[in-house]
Amino acid sequence: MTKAEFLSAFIDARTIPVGTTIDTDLAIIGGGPAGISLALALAPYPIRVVLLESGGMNFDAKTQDLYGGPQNGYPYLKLEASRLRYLGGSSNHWGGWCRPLSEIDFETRDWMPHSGWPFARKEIEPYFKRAQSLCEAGPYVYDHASKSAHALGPELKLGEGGVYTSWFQFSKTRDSFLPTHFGHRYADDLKRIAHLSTYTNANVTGLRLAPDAAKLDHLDVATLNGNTFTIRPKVTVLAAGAMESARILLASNDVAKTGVGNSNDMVGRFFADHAIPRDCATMVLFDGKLAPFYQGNATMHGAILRATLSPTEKYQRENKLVASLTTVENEVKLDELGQAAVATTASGLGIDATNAKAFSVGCGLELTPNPERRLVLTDERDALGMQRLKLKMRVADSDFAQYRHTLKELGRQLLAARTGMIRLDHKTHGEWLSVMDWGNHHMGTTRMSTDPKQGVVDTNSQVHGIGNLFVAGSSVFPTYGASNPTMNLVALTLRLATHLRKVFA
Amino acid sequence: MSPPPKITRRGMTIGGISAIAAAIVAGGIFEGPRLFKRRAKGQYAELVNLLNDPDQAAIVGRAIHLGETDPPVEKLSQTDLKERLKGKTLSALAAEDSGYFERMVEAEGWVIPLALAEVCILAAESV
Repeated sequence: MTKAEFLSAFIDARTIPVGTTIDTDLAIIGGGPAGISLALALAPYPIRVVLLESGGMNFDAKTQDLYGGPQNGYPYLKLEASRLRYLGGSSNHWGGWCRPLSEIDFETRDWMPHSGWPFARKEIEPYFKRAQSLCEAGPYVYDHASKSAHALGPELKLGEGGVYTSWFQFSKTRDSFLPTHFGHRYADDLKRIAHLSTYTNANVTGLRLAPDAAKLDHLDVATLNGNTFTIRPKVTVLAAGAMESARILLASNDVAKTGVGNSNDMVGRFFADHAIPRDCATMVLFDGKLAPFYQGNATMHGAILRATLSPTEKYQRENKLVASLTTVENEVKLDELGQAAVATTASGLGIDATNAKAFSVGCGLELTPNPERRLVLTDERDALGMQRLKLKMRVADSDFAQYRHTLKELGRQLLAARTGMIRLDHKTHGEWLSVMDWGNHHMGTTRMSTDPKQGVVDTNSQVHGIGNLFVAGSSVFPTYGASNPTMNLVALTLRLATHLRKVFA
Repeated sequence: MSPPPKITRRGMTIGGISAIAAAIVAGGIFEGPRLFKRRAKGQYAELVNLLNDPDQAAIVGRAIHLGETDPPVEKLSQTDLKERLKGKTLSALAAEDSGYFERMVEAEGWVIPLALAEVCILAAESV
């Protein structure tokens, strides 16, 4: 006989009587991967936690509309389309790609303005495996996959140089190949935590500071049916995503007129995403042979893996390049010039290319941090009366040029190994623009820095100058790398959980 | 068990003619393009004909926009190329160029070794 389990239900905030005040030790704003991971990490400790989720268990158009807002500058996805506002947050539409950030991603790079974390990778390294587990990405394999991948096919033979085969892993939901949607996956786990109260349909509309502006006093919460109530936490963690966390800070401007944590005008600046220009190159393999793990996922050692092509850290440093990953995609046909280029090059190198095949190439590209790529408040208000955001998007031509350099190096290495060749499909700003897509990997808007003039949070993710307010999520990433943020932000959140345990001890 | 088939003179003649016909057809298929391919003429012929198909090379050569590549490739001198080819095959020189990033040339985005680019440019002028 199994022991009966007690699962507390989530609380629908629309049922809370108007004017109620709820006292708690810790309030977590946002039920995405960061908020859920934090609640789970603190479960074993006697800390009363309130988790506030704006949505419910599933998509709701009216709740989603709270995310809407205009934009200008470089074309970008609609603000309400690139994230999801219900339990699980944007993990509800993620692709499941996982890879820990590299050491260089944390370094100050002299060719990249505003780059560098206030600590090295080793600081969050102890949390990667637990983060990997929460993302359900299987055993921690990554680049060790190269040792055994030959069982499924050979790795691309590349000449000595700056690009190598790197490996991503994929989140899966139990036996299926779908990525973990944190809300559905961990709902029951959250309900099992006796001292956790999860409120759905609970929108935080204001962080209310104490009169001296050095401490957070309470949170205003509103629901779409007109309900309002108050949470009075000892400590608050803002984990609402890189857009919404910035919005809540900026819009909470009753005591601090520029918003909470924004005395140095840093909140909302340095917005970032991974640029994903489609079909950015064409790769030809002279023998037409490509191992399956380049074009799609392959299972090895119980992990779902995919091979990508990345610049080595050494090559990035020597050639002053942004981080990137390159993927091999679909087989394509060559035009007359392509056929001539392949025939001539193969002939010139003395290679038989009668079986040559061509493939389109995709990529994920790190952007250089830019303070002018930012979120600001508009005068337009949403259904709850909160000012909507406006995104000013910018991408530097040098980011594309640096990635193009990496692709060209890959082409050279293919030639040097007599494996194949490459066409760089885009060069001008307009050409890159015509194929631009985005990763929906919002980052950077509450960046971490030891200097309050350079960042919003300190090395413990505490908002500078406000003792009991923290931020969790990829909004604190000061530099971004080319790895998808979910697993990395979960690792960083687990590090924050360790710090909060000390705070409450 | 049935007796082995009888080999007649008539059968041998037909078989021999068929074999010769097959050889001619196969030779035509595999060697025809080479035999009837247009060869480059003029002052660059010696270099351009190092490639199997000067017509294809010319297509690539016309896609190399002198001065617009990165690094820029200027008007080339066949003397320089001949100098670089001294004691080497074109294949060996192209392979050597593939070891250097700065010796990569773009033909409307196609990344090729400098030596091949040079021959392609000459092909574009001579085919």
